[in-house]
Amino acid sequence: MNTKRQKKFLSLYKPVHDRFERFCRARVFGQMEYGDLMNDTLVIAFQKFHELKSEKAFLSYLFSICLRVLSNYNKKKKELSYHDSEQILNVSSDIRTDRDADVHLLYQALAKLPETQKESLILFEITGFSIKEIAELHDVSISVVKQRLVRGRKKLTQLLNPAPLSQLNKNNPS
Amino acid sequence: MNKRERPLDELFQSAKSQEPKLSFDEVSKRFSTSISGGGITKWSNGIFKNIINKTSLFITSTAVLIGTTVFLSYNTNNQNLNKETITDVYSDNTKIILAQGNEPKIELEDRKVADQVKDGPKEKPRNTNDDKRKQIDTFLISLDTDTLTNNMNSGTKITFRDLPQSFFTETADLFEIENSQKVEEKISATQKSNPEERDLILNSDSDQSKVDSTEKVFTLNEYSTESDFRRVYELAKKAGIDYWYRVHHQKKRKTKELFLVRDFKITMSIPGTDIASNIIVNVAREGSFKVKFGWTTDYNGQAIDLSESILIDESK
Repeated sequence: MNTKRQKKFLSLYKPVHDRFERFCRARVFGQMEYGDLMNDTLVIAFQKFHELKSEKAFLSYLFSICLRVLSNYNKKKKELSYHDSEQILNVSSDIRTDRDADVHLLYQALAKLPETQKESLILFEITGFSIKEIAELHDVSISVVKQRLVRGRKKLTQLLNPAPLSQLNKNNPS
Repeated sequence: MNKRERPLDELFQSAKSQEPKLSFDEVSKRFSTSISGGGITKWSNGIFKNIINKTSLFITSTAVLIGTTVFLSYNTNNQNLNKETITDVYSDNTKIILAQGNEPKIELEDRKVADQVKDGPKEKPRNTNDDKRKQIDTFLISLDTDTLTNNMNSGTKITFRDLPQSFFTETADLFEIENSQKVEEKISATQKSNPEERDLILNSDSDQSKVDSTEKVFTLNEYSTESDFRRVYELAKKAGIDYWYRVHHQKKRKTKELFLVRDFKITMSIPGTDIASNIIVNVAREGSFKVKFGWTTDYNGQAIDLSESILIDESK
């Protein structure tokens, strides 16, 4: 019975694995091991699998659990801070191609954004959720999500394109 | 082209099209292991490790706290059981009986107590089967002879609580003798002549221990404060003296911390007698003085005479 249920669960998970993996990797970059987040989310999702009413809603079901796990994690962020240095080192060692380097830079910049803006941007730009879906996941209005996306992109652009030296010299003559 | 100058969308596209670092097989394998192995044990590096650690820490600390509280409250209750208040003391020729109302609590052999007091604290208590007797024996042995004598001479009340803390044992510290007007305990006259023969004699009607009179003397000077004058006034009233006083202090100055006495007047008289006394003092500016005065009280604390040795020493 349990094996059957497990197979069913994994069959639903398989199509969304890539998106879920990318989201977790981007979301907890520099904070914790994203494999742990994935596994914790999957275990909880499996335990509450019977509560899932429609298989079509599996993606949002999985992400909503992941966001709750992350929320709990943030409450205990201080205790887990020792993971940071290890995680950054591990990520750095994964860079093999130019694309990997680009993505690494992007994740580094994303990690400096506020949680809500970062999460909205990752869900929208990397994971491929619609604004409406993000609004439902975060339990906020669509305009709030839009606002977060705009502000997040603006900050991200600033982070990835620092002001030229000449402009800085103008602002600070000394 | 610098990577940092690439458009943001291009970076997002790169992230979106990047191959997963963890394959589905790896994730599903780990997931299956977690499910079959009970889950929690496999999350050693994850979030739940911390939750579990915190929970166990909380449970342990709560258990310790409850245990400590129970232990302390149990000990307190045990101490409360040992508290007894002795309200009456009876005696005959052979025994001292400490009682609570009409119920005898402790019986002491008169001779034994006397011997123990005489021999001092070096002697160990005699073995008895009665726990209470043993307790009071121990207590009396550790009791300083002079302290016991003084307490017994003081008349109406013997309160062992007033004795030094070192005399008390856990069970003996709350023995209290009240309402002892029924019994007057005196040290016999033999105590004065020969310490070896001293003994406790009860129901004596001797008045030798009563103090006939006490002289109270007060000294006031230019530094005396209003509370000093007030204290003397209250003591005089307590002694039954008609007492009146008035005091003026020098004007307040910013540079002066003390406000010296400028002048004062005290009038005292004992009602029903013609004994009266007036003290009037005028002090020169920045002058000093010393006034000694007082009264004599009887054993009830009532004034019977005013001090004749009023001394006024005034100097500039």
